[in-house]
Amino acid sequence: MAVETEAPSPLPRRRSNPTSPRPSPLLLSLACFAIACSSPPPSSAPESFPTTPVALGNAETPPAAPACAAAARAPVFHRLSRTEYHNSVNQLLGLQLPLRERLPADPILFGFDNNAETSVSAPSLQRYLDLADRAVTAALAGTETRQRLVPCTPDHDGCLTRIVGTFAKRAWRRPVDAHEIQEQLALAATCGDDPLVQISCALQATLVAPDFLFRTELLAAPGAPSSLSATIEGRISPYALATRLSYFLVSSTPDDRLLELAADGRLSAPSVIETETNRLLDPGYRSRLHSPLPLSVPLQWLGLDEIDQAPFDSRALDADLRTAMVAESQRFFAEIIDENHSVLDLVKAPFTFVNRRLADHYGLSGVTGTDLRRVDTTGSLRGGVLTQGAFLTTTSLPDKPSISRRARWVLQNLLCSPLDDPPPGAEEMVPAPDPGLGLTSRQSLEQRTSRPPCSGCHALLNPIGFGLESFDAVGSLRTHEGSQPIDASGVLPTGERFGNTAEMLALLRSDPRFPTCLTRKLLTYALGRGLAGPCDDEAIAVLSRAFALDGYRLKNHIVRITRSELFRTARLAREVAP
Amino acid sequence: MTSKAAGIVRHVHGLRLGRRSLLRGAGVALALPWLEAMPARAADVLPRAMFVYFPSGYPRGLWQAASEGDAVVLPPLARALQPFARKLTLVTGLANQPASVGASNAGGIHARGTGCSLVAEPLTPAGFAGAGVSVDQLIVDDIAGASCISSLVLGLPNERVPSFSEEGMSSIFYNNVSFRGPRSPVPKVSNPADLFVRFVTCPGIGTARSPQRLRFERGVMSAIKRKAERLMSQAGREDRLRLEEYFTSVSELERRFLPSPHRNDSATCVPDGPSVPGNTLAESAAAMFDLTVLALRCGLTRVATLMMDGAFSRRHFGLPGLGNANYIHGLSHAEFGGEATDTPRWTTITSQYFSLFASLLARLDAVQEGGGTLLDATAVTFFSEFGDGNAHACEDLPFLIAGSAGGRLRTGQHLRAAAGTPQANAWLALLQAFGVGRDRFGDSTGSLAGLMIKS
Repeated sequence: MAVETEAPSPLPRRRSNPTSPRPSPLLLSLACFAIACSSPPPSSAPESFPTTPVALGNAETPPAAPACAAAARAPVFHRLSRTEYHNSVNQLLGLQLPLRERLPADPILFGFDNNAETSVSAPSLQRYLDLADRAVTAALAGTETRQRLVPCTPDHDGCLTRIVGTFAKRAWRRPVDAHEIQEQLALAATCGDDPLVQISCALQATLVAPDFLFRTELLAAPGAPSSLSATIEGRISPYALATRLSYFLVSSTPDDRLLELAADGRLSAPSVIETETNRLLDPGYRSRLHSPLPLSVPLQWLGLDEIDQAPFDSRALDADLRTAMVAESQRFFAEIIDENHSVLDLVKAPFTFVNRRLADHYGLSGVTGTDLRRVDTTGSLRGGVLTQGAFLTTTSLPDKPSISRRARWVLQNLLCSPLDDPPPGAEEMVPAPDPGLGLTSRQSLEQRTSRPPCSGCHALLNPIGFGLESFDAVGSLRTHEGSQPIDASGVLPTGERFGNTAEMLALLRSDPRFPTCLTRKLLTYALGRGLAGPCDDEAIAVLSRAFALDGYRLKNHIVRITRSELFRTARLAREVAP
Repeated sequence: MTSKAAGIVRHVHGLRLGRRSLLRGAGVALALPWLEAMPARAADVLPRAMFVYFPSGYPRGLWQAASEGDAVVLPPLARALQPFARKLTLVTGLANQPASVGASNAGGIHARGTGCSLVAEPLTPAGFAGAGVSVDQLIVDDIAGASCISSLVLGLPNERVPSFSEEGMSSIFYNNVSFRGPRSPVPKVSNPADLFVRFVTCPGIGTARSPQRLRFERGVMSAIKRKAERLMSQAGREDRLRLEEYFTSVSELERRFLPSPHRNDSATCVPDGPSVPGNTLAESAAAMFDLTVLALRCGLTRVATLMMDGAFSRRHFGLPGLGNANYIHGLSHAEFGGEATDTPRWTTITSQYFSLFASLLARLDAVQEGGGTLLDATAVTFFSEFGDGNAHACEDLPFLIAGSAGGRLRTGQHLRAAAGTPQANAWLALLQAFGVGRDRFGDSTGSLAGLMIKS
């Protein structure tokens, strides 16, 4: 694959964010693609910018729903991700079993693991059977958990029916009819006469049914009650809405309260959605679910899952330090939501969470103990995801930080402006300088990337990476690389200069691409599908505008998303619309 | 059926046999020609298929075979396979063309390279252009119906599998070679303990499930299938495809409750229990190979697909001279200085893949079965997504097939296909050898001549 010489086609169709106060960095990046990158990003890529003008008006003026429902089709069956499965089963049974680790990793699509475009395979199904056995057996063995599941005398008339009906309604997130209960009872009967064994079998069968393993956003079976069906405008049913809300906010199954609100139709009111969003985001709610985070978005977005795989031996990065780094990022993200901070604080904030071990590692003083606590970082470099160990280590190479990888992560995950891989053979064309010259990583990279074919993309990458050179491979501060002093100054493609890491972070904090990118990421996760087409673009633009007017307060923005028309709309396949 | 593109140097004339009937073990009436053509073949040998992938091709210039006539002389990179030269066919000149089609306007060459290897259809971020069913799964559908596990799809333990999307291409495409739909990989099992759990659910293997449990699980399977129709009626076309996969997996599980027609119930078919592999590549491979050979020997499955590593995976190779290097993709590009000899670490890893493949063949060849060995009863292909890996070249692929699938394939030969011959031609020949009634597969232009013993 040679260096691409064709002119990039998307140029005329792309536009910069009109709220940008600066010359468009996007145009610069397109110039880069024309010169140097092996291919332009696909114009339909989920990361791409809006292709339609930003609409005026406020967030309560949604795109017309019927037009959007018909505009594009997207799947309406989502298989539970392993995180969702883990949380749901534990919540339903009142347990804290390690189920997630026993399921295979989910494919990542558009940055998240909850995309509908995934399937269940044979190994997983056997696993589901085994896990259901293990979990239900554990729940029926515990006195407290058994009492919750078995509130009546098992061999008493009607008790089994009641148990099975109640559990199936919770697990399947919808009303269950008599015929369905009968099916579960018939399965239970194959397990013998012991009532408790029958209960166990019925509950297990409920947890391996597709009704549990798949979230369905359309249930328009002949004869099904209208409360389960989407409308022709694409509005999902109240039960599907309760389900969507709960999996978005807590990655788990809706609780009884949400199902009640769905049953009596109140959930559809935006004010009720708002109340429920705040209830689920409350720290008390998630602590009952034993979940450290309000949304599992950052786990995947920040790659916190990957820190166990960071390429360091235990001397450089021991288990305590890794654990503290993950906890730091989780607490930090939770704080920003809980306290309704501006989302810009994600990039740079005057606080973070450390214990003594991590504080020592970061060069912060006055922290004792193994518990993390909030510290004021005014005047230090810490505070913000780019200064946290989780980001700094997972983007490093085994023996040194990587300027390019850090910058690439920023462009892709904070600014939704991903770059391609280097063209094949690039390294061959531009050999590394002689190690005998004693150049720093920065000097070496500058020398190698100063000319085409490298200079186009690296003009975007290098300054961001240079600005992070004050951090070493495991996230400690450094002033020297070898005997040479660190130079963390640079010039962004916009012409803005920075003298050090703090100034670069301040410039990134004010980059207008970031809040729009975050909106896009949140919606992709909330809907469990890739975003594409004018309807989605317009919704993003409207939401982003309201976000800006509101000072980018994150909790408000999550409420804004759950109140939006898009959040209660499915991409219906025409052929099955009633 | 031989295409012009497949300019095979050597032609083999075989006797006409009813492939399909033979494969199904109903070859009584054909006993005489059978024996003449394939003397080593026993009537009750069920052919097995194995597909083994290794990433990144080879360093430029290191895939030169010096074969003359019948004497196959393998390239130095594959020296470890030389003892098996009489039991394999080396094919040179094949191309993974669908992976490079559209390269001018679509990125993700590794996703396309790896994803297309066994599917042979062009790939876009939306998935494969056609049915998206890989060659191993087509064989599964045709022959594996009665096996407890219809197909084993495996990785090696201790592989760090990345999940980023490569220029819009989902990670599923560079992490997998086995597919059952346009964007539906068959997930790899990479943990020996998980594989063990799967084995002991098969009848006659271990005693993990009580009869009552089996009865219950069978009932659950039937109930799920009853729900199928109802759910399908509510789904759009694409959702329906996904749900079909789910229900296919249910049927797969149901099969475990049927007796296997070809099962060795001897005590040697009870695995020792999940082993905890060491973390080097060699130790990881040994653990997985042992279980795979057990599964093939004991009739738990007839088709196994194994990836030595994914295109972008990282692992501790544990090889001398590698230092901390854990990223074969990085080495395949970063280290290339224009001369093949400048790629020592990449070469070391790739040679190790060939050595490990040789150790797999040795394990198969050590099992006596039906007058030959398990290797003779199996067709084990070894392939990669690229030729010259640094250049992402989809031509001059490294490709060989060991074993004769119970006398259905010729061995001890070097087939020189005309440059650019679709690899799909070799897959098509293999499909036909296994009795899968097709005359096209992916971008095939014909069945690769000289591979199959004609019927």
